[in-house]
Amino acid sequence: MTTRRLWWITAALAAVAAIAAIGVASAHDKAGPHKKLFGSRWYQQASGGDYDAYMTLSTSQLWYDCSSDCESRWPNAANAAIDDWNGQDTTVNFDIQPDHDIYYDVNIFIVDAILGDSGLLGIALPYDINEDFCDLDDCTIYYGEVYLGDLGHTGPYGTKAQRTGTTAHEAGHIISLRHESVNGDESVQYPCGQDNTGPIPHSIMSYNCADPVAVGGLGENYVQEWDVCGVNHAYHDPTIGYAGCGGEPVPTPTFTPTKPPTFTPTKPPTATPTPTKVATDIPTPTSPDLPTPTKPADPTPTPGSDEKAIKGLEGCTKNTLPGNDDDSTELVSLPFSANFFGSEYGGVYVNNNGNVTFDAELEQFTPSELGSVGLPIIAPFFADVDTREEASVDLTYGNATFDGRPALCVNWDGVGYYNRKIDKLNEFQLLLVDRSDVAPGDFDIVFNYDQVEWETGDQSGGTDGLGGDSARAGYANGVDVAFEIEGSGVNGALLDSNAAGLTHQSLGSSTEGRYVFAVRGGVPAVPTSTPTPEPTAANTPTPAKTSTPTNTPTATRTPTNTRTPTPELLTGDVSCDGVVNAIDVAYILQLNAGLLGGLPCAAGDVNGDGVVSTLDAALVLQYIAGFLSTLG
Amino acid sequence: MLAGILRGEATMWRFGFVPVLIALALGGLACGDKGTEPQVVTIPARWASASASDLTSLLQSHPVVFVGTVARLRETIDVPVLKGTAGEVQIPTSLFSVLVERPLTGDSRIGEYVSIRQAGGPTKAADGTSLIVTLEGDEILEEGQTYLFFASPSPDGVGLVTSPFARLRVDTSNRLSPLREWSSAGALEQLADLPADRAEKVILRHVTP
Repeated sequence: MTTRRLWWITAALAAVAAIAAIGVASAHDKAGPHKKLFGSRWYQQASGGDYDAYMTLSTSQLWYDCSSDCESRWPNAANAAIDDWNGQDTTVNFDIQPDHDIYYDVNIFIVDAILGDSGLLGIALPYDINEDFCDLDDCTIYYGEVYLGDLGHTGPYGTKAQRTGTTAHEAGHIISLRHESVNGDESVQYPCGQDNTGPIPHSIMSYNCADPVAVGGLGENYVQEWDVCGVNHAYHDPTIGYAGCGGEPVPTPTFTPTKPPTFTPTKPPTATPTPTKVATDIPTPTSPDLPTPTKPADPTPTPGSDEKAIKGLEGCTKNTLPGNDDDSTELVSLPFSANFFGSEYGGVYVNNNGNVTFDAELEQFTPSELGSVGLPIIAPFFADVDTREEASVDLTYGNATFDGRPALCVNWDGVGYYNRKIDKLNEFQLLLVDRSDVAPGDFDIVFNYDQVEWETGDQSGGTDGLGGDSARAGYANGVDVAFEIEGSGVNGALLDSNAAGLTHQSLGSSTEGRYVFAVRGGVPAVPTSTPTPEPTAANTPTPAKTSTPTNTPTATRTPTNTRTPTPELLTGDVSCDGVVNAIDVAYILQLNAGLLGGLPCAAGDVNGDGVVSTLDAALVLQYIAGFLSTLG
Repeated sequence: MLAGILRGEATMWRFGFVPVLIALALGGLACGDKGTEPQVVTIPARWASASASDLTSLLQSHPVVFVGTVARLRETIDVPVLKGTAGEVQIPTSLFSVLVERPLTGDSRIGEYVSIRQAGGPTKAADGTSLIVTLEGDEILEEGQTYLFFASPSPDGVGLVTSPFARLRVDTSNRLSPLREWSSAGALEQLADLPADRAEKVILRHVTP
């Protein structure tokens, strides 16, 4: 090596240090999101770019140090990743050598577990001229190593596509690409196609873009245009320009993985009721095909009186759920068989947090939309009840007789809120009343409220029982039909302090604080007008009581139908972005190349032959080009 | 030693000694403002974080759960990650002694010290410079700090392993906080900011018998 050559290297190193010091990762100024790059560069490109030549990195054959048969799993996957990079329009080429040699620029090692941690899928190690690990933001790279953990690639990660993705991802690090799924200070993970600046293009350097579809990722285990752009910034060559940077950010598909709900019920029921399907076509509460609501049980309305809504029925306090936070009962048998949204139930789980559920207990304490809890639920007051303090009355329940009919009664008759707060207490009651006299499986849901002073637990964003994620009341089938009493989830709306609060209104009843829903044929009906009391099994009201109420109850709450309609799929729009374009073609082709585990939207079978093939991609292309007027 | 054992001479031959001196000088400049603070080197990593998407999955992949306080860094060992081959390199791995205070699931007892193993840790560069090696998305355990650990036995039998998305700090007010980078993972969202006793109850409810 000549002295002259050494001086060139010296100058180059100094330039790199300067670049790193000022944190400039790219000289190309372009509006919109900027590709995230490490500050380090390979020694060949130490001037920061304009190398005026392709950078060729000699790359060894794969190294194996596995106790298992990893050699059968990795060659195709890892080589596919390198081929993917080499097939891009970038200034960098991984020049795969025919043999193993640690003196090559890039070495890729397959090991069982990286540093004893089977949760590590891969790491990338850049080395400086001292052969020390170096910080990718502050280093001139002289060689790089990639370690891929075989044991970590199991379960949803145990596919060829995921192995390819990890290899491509780590190779991207080696050539200066930074994670895309984190923001500037490398802290918070963002979904694919997003960061703290808003929408960004998809990238193999984003965890969520590459993660398996089965766990909420997009399964995009391939080099994307944005990655090409990044490399061409980091190792700029005027002859190739900034290929890959021309496109606008890829819109994030509408199915961008959502985070799981704050609390997901996962505990299986200790005693599993076996729902029996008795109807396959369940009308929604707003369907015009609803059965005519039968007037619910409310035998002794005394409009305008001081009557409490809560019924002091014998049996309501027979059983106690001792003072607790978030606990539930075992399965409590109903004194009748209930048809709720087409499933027949013989029991419910009584949950401390103001609700009963079918199929499993619910420990969720921060109320969410009732349709989102994933269980059939009936909730007079879904909120963070806390009965651990002595001044808070424990939840009680038991079989009772209501208007001569068997009923399950549950009392929250003076309960506090989390965390052991008793400065405000709520009094409410749930009755599930047998109405098999109308039809087998029919029943009434009755919510009774005498006092609502708090709406939120301290762990749900509230202060002193108010604000935050406030209580919800209503019911849901656990899938797609839900009804919530107006004011649910609205701060202050359900409280006594509000003139339209739960204790001041009614529904399906003339008694203030009472809300009655007749479940007929499995479908709860939302009353829309003041009911006329109907005869009970025990007695018959006088005509005067039913025809001339002394005042008019205000049954004016409007049903809040939270049913989520199923979005219609646009044929060919497999990316779910609302348009059919080249992105969809790319998705279909990648799927057929085995690089994707699935498509964001099941709209790829354009010709209806039952499979998503390259023929479908061709049809989409023809459509985009205007040769076809419609798809599907 | 961090350096690849066999590569050394060859690399020096390839690039000469002058660049080494220059690099050292530049390194000194880069560290000039840091005084004696060790330089932190972060290794880019991809984690199989899917198990943190919900609490049940996290418990299945990390069956040993307990609240414990890091007593001390017992040792840092440079682990050869490519044993017995010419390409053998070594990366620091730390072994911490952790005092179990509240065992929840798995085989641990109150008052017992367990070894928690973590990739990365303090080490020295070839020139003697102190370094702290961390993996991206992780931070080195802190002595004296109490954590809620979700752990699993290390595949090679040396201690327990806990991933960055499988532990939460217990702060002075007894509340839990995950590493910020993983705070949006479903399981950690469930536990974040909960008092430790409440989190324990939530966890125990998700344990599959």
